[in-house]
Amino acid sequence: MGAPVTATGEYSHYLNEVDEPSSGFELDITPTISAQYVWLASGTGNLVPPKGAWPSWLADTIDDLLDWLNQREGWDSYSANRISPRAVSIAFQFLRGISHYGIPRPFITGDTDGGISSSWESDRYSVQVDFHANSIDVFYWDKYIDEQWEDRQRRCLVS
Amino acid sequence: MSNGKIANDAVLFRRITPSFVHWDGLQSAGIPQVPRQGFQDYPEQIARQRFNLPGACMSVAVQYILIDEGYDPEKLIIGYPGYGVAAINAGVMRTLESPTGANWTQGVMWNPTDDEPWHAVVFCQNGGKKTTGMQGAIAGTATWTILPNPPNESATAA
Repeated sequence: MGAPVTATGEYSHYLNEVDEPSSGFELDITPTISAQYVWLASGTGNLVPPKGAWPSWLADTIDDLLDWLNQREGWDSYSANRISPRAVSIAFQFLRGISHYGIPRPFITGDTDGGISSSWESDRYSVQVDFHANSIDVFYWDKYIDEQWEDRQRRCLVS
Repeated sequence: MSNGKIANDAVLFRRITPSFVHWDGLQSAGIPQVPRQGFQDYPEQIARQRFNLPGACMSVAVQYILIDEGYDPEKLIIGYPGYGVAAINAGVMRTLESPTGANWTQGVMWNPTDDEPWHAVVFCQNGGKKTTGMQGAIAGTATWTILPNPPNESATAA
């Protein structure tokens, strides 16, 4: 599946291994999404095969995820929960999988329940995928026609 | 404010962490969008334990009470370097709706504390937590009163 991803900074290891980061947290990387089988549908309805190489933004995104993992309770000044390691794991697996398809770098933030939020914005579209320990929330907005939908997937196993 | 009810024309302030701001997506004049992530509710257990409230809600500061107490919006970011303050309107919250006209109305309730007599909460009238769409709709009505700054910079007035 291409060259292994190496995170920059203090977490310079392959995130497909369970490791003990210096913060004391153990990342439980349990693959719930097999990227090999994640194919995206193009606007014409045809399946788009993965491009192969890791994008340049993936390592920076991994750093973002790990930074959020280190945030303390109340990181938003309003009693936000600490970020769940499982949410980070799920976010990483998903983002690594879709990174093969020319997706631009997502904007990564935490959410107050302890999840990870990844979002993409353009003049027309807004897409947000929120990863929690046991669910994934998806939000889509076409600003030109003001069409929105959002949904929660409680079982996020994709194979 | 009569009978403890916050007037519809009340300005409500919300403190926003700079980590919610997408610094790569600045609007004209270099001003960032008010992020929808800044309008998330407390975790429900926090709302119950900390404020003795029945469900999810988010904290705001009522401008005219803050002023009556002798403070300005800068008071809200003391101890939070780089944070911004966004302003929303109570009446707009009470009439919020989705793009399809669905009821997204928010309740606005004064909830003073010993330390913050200007404290109020905004909550979904239909119950539950604010959805991403609701957060976005609220952010769409918000304006910066104090701009946040990227990390390692101090906040500036909007």
